[in-house]
Amino acid sequence: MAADSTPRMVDGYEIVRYRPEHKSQVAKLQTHLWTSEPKFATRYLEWKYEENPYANEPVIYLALQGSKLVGMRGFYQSKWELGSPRQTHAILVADDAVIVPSHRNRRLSTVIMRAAFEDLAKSGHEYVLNLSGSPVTVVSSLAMGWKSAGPLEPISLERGLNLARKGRRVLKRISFVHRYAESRFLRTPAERDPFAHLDRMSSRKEADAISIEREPRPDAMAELVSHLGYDGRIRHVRDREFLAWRFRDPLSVYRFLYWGTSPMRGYLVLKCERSGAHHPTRVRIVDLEGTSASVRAGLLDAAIDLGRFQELFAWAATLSDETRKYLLSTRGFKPAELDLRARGCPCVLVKRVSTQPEGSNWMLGNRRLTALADWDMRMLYTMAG
Amino acid sequence: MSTRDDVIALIESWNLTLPRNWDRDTSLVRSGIIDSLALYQLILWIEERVGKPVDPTKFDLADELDTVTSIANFVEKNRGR
Repeated sequence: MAADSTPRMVDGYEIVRYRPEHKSQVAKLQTHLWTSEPKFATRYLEWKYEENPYANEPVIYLALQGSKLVGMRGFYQSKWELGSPRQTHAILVADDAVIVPSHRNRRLSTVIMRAAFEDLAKSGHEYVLNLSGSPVTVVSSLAMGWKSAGPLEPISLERGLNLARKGRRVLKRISFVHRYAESRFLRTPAERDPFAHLDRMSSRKEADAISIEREPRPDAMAELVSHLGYDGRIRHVRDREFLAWRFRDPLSVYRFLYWGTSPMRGYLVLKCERSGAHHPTRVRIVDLEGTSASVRAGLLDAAIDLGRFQELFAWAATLSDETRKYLLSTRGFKPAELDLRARGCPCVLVKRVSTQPEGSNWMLGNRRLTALADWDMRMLYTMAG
Repeated sequence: MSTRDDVIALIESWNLTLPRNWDRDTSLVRSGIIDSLALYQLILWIEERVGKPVDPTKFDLADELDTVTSIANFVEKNRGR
């Protein structure tokens, strides 16, 4: 159902494509999801769907009951590259699934997704992706015929528990007060701002090779990526347009470690949540590139030593052997989120929406979408990053 | 109570919109009757029954958990393994 086509009625719900006049209702609905503040939800919606460099128009399917918006599923545009000679493919990524509490358990998410798949197939889409979905999303997606390419293997480096964290763990076990355990007022200054120590170190002059900055350098970063070797696995395009857009994510705060200026020889991107609602002390390694192993190791060392983060978090599944060994063996990263890992999460999910006859494998060029060995999956390419 | 009875009691406790004459062989997952949160709750319930985490990416969820009968069989097959 293109944006101007006839809405569809299913089980008493009207399924329509997003139009600009829905914006305030959608932003309000998204307060169930990312943020309790409608202004942030609106900004996020505009950034993700309207300012996306690869999208002509937002692809969001809405469920209305009467004039009331009761559910949605968004698909944001992404652009992937693979192989040699290099080929690129635009693929939609399913995200932002929300059903208002009073309409849950009425098969509404299935109704929205079935309408979406049918419409996307008619529009010529062959595959859609879902990256790093929650366990609920993963389970419901698998039930609708999505396939997992494999788990992303979260790892983290944690510093010892300080007094404040120990205290919060105790509070969490006590009736009535457990809800205050993650209160902002009980956090140490470093926990309120995980980048505090790194920022203080940014003015140091002795580490001249590496600079710590708050702003991305999309031109230099894209230039560096374009000159590095490429093994042909499926990865997101990192051109200037993507990088300039990506780091404007209003729900995230980034720091950039650069090695060298002209030319840039490497970069490391770190992220934490702006709200700190889910993982207040977690700093994520979003992307790492360098002209050599020593440049990449130097950037990681600088992040670990200068940042003094409570928790430094990464995905290990598609890292190079050299980086994986460095992080896991040398610097003491350990498998993280063991509950999620045991349930195959987070993972890359793929769904074929085309109704054309398919082969035995779901392929993009000569790469298998359902085999993580054919992916170079970085957090930067997903909304976790 | 048999495992089948337990599954039926669980599903009836969720206030889902079930077909009038549904039975142990009615499609619940493929049909979308159980979706999203209810499906996740079902996985957690199965985990309690089998005593270990269940990785839904390792089997065909829509096939192996589609009906009361198949859910009960899945629990019996994985219990204590």
